[in-house]
Amino acid sequence: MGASTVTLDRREPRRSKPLISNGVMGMLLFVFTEAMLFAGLISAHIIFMSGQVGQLWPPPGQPRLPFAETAVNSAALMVSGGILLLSHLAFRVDPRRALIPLGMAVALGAFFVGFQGMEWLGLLREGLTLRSSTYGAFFYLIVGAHALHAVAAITCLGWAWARLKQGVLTDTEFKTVQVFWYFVVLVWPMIYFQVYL
Amino acid sequence: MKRYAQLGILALIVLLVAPSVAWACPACLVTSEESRVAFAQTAIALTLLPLGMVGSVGIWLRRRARDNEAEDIEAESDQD
Repeated sequence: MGASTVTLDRREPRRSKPLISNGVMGMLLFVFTEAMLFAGLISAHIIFMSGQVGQLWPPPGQPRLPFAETAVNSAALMVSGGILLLSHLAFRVDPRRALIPLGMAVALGAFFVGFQGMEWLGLLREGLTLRSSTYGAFFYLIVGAHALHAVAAITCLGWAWARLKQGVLTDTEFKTVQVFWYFVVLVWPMIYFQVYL
Repeated sequence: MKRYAQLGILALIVLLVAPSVAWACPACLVTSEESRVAFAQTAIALTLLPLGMVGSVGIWLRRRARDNEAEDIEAESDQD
């Protein structure tokens, strides 16, 4: 009986690359759940509107929403998303080049939230409150939920900007906060067209 | 096993009969045609949305896996 020989494979072991980072995957899962939250709120709004007697919506006696001013505000939010994308492309080339566009994206996002706040103050003065009507309740609930997400996402973007300024922002961290902001930006047009128009 | 099958059939019958007994369907009792249509459309949207989101990510991950595999095979053949 002859001795068997074993040939050792001396090539480099094949390392499997992760398909997606944990941070981005976790943020995607969070975004999916929040997307369902907004889908449920918007669905409830659609169903309630359809059940109004005589299809009167907004109901008479309630202040009208400033859809023209909000259109300008919405444009600022969209531009913020576009600038964040430019920041991402710059980050791939040289992280330091992403600092200014990322700062601009944060500033535009903060402008959007601030302007929304001013709009709310005006509507409250005109008498549209959470309890004044179902119209008001839906408005503050849906737009308020979006505002909360926007504030959280701006905070995350601001954190990323601070880390980028220090030179310690990683690619995974940047992509993770981007996913959150893109979600806030992309869900807003659906809210605007459903609630304001 | 036979007992579990009988219990399963009984449960299925109860589930099929219960909604009509309990008037549990939110859309059937709506008097307005617009509301019924809105219910149906939003139910379809809420059903398709999670399937679309998860399915899209699944397809994207599968493509990335295939691309990675192709790169690995190419790298191995370069080593040879």
